[in-house]
Amino acid sequence: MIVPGSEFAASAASRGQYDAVVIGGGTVGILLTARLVQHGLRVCVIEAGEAVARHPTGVFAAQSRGKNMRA
Amino acid sequence: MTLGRAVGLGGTSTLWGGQLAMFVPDDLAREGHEWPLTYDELRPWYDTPCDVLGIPAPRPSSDFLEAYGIPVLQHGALEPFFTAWLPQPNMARLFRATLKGDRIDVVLDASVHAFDFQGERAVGVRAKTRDGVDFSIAARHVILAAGTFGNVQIMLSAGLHGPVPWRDNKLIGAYFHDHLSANAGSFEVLDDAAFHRLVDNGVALGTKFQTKFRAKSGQSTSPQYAASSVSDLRIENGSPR
Repeated sequence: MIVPGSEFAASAASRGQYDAVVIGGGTVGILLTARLVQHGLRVCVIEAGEAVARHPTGVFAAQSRGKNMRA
Repeated sequence: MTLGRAVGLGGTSTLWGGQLAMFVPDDLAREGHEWPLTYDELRPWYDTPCDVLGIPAPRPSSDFLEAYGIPVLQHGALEPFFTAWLPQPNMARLFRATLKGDRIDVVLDASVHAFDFQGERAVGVRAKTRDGVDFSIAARHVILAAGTFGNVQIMLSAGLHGPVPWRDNKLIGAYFHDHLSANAGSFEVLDDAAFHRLVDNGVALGTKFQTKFRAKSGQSTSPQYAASSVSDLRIENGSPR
């Protein structure tokens, strides 16, 4: 389930203990989480950004793609 | 710091082209640069990540040259190797179904700033929503996966909120290094057709691959070394920028 922080915060106390909390829903966090879930763990991922990734400048990543980027 | 990173679900993988290079045996066995493990010890560990990411397990370069219809290069200071491109490098898309499953909660727009400890063991995190609402999450394991800068930012932030086991560690937040890069040489292409047959992106074994070159083990990439084989590459001095 993917849920905004404001919605989750209201019910966080009633969600009990997770097997793991993963800080960061990026390259490593998602890959790792998928592996933990495959092994039967109940996992909470906390992502600072939104459902669509932006550069730290606030520009959406897709808008600057091709500028100074390398494969 | 800015263009090279992305914040949001999928993180910097949303910018990534998805190209991966794997070690070849010589990488771990160069004279004077030996690693504490052999390629044979490492090789089995590639199978799972290759399977998860949807690329074939490592194969010898000769397999790709054969698939491309190019004879194996016998001479020269350089030898080709092949990088694999992931079919889907954006981790948020690759694992979209998993993220929506019922054994997982993905919380967006919330930042962790501190940990709950039992002794020196982290047993939960404290976070704040973008709107400023505080909440806590209890967990048997706490995993930092916020990247080079994000992890450090959170660890330093946690130290401001209370005692942390790493409070005396002076390395956290120090000694950052960027990638070093420099021009080491340049090619003069003598046969355009042969060159492009070798270096253009190709599809072999069901996956997109790209040719790269590495110095052959035991040989220096000295100037004026002519590769006298199919690609007819001549290496010349690069002028550092």
